[in-house]
Amino acid sequence: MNTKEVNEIIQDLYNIDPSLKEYEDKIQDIIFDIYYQKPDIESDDNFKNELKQKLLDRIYELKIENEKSNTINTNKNNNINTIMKKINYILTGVVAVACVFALFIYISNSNKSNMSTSIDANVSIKPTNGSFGQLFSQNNTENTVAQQPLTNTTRLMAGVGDTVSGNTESGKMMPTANMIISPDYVPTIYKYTYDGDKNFLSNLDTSNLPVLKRIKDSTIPFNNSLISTNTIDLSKFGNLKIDNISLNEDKQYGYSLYMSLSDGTFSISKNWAKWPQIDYSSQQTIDDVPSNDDLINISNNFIQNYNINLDNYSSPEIQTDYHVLYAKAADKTNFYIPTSSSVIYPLKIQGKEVYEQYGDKYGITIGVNFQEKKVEYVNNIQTLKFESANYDLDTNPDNILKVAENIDNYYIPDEKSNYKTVELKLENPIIAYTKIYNYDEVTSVNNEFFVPAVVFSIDTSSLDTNNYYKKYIVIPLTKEYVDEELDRINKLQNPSSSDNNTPTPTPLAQPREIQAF
Amino acid sequence: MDSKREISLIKNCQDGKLDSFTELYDEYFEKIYNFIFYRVSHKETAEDLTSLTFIKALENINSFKVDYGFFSSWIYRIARNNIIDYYRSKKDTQNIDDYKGLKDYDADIIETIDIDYNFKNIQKYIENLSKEQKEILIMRIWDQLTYREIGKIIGKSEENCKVIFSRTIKTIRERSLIILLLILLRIIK
Repeated sequence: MNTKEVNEIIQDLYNIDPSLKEYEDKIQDIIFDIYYQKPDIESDDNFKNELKQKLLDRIYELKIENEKSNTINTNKNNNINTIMKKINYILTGVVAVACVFALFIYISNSNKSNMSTSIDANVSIKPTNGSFGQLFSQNNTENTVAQQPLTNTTRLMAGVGDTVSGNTESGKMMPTANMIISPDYVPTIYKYTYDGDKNFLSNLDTSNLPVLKRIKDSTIPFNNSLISTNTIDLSKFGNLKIDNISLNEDKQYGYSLYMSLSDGTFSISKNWAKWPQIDYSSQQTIDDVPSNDDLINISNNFIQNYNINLDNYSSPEIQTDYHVLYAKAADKTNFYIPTSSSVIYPLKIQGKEVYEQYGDKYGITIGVNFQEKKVEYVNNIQTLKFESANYDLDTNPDNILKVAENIDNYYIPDEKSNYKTVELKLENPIIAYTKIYNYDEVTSVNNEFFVPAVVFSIDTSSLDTNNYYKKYIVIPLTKEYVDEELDRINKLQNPSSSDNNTPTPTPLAQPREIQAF
Repeated sequence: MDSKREISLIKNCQDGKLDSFTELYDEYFEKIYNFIFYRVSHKETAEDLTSLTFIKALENINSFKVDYGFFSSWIYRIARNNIIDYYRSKKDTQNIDDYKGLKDYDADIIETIDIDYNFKNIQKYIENLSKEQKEILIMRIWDQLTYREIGKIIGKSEENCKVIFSRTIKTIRERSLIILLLILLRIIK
């Protein structure tokens, strides 16, 4: 019960209408009484975790959609500086001491390499005797959408199905969105073909290709003797640990540093208050976008200046080449030019590059601001400590190819629906790692796994659209994943053979969008 | 969470790093769930509407303008719109096609919606109040939102919300005096 805030409400009230002070006792009684009538609510932790998992699934879907879409308008009309001026930066001496202390210990700990079997500098891998359990059971969003009955919420999330208004699982009426139908949109199904050498898995040494789980927890004990304060006795708290640290550079073009010790990640972003306000009044043109060489040079200089360790990262690449996209764009006047572009330094584990499951390379990303020609953010710097466990891998190239060819096909053919099918060629398969997330409901931790995978390049030279962003097809090699995918594909291709109890996936409907502000 | 961290997370989301949204979720889950529960007083419905609120917020994070106001006001506004839709669907008097997505509802629509603050002991205070008065009263005392946040959520100025709140308290006080007088009169009789 926070009576302090209730007292503030009362004081506020007297400031608004001083005549109320005359009835002070009665007013206090009324407000406290209303406050005490507030129902005590205990939200359901299971529900909280389930919803978080739904959001993570949706985030994964949106990432894929964003890659495909060239129409994202990120509403950059933000007058950030005006807001930021109102924010007080309270970095007390106490916190500063703690941060410096924590930073020192964190960096010291990070440099300790007390684990074994690493072949890469700064990467340590500790074998485990057991396994990490099911890797994909909660992760495979597409399976969930295709193989479960579509409730109102899942329809909304999946972006398919009719506008509905009816009963939810809870039996209550549930409002739904009347989404706007885009009249010109014809759904496209991408099918992949591969006619190269099928021996791409023949030399695979499965005994030396474990699944890796990144060890996150690097929290450090908090030495409360460093801090003396008259307001609270910190020594009364037991086993305090520093979870995260945030630091701001108080200078022009300064940066904000955020270190999550519990997650083992480190990121840098521009300190908004110390950077000039971006001029959004004039739309940027393609001439404002620096050349790829310039972007990489700016990024490399930053890396060098701040001694960011790139021992386990490949040469930098431009994530989205706006010059190429602009050249291909049919409507150049409405081509959206962002304010920054990212350079990626792909992560390598045991000599193998790491890919996002949706088909991008994974690694340290550095955003370069076009107007300022400066780095404005760095993401994905992380501790590289892993546990390893061996999983059964599927080394049958026919299985892998069947999954690869149908990886983006989730819809039962339906005569009534209007589709466009585009075939794209797959080529140059390599063995790599793919990063997947699996949310542990018990611990509420979103675990990161690195799973051996086959990665195919996609030949997009035949495409005449900018709406296809995927560069690679990534197929995790674990039997668990391949079997699930084969099962899904078989059900799609032979819907009549499905178990009658299995809900039938809804055929692709016209796309719908939620109308924003 | 301080404002700076919040803005940084929103900017991350708007730059495509949507994983940052989970931190905003952790921060706001309980507040939004409670906000909804106070107004629908039904666990499963509160869960449905909470899900819808966060999914919409995630999908529309790019439309949030940092200089427009606080993220808190924005997400509460989404929650409020979902609650209004819920009541509208219950009333079944409105065409579902009138759904406005994330668009604000104005006071006229709110006045047609009868949100149940379905908790017995609060009724003596809120009965006979206008829907707008009830809404501001509950937002200020139960949800502990600032006048500025309330103003952003319901589309009124901060000053206007202050005045409505103070008049509401005045009304409650005066009414309680009348009730007290009536009780006394009854005793005397």
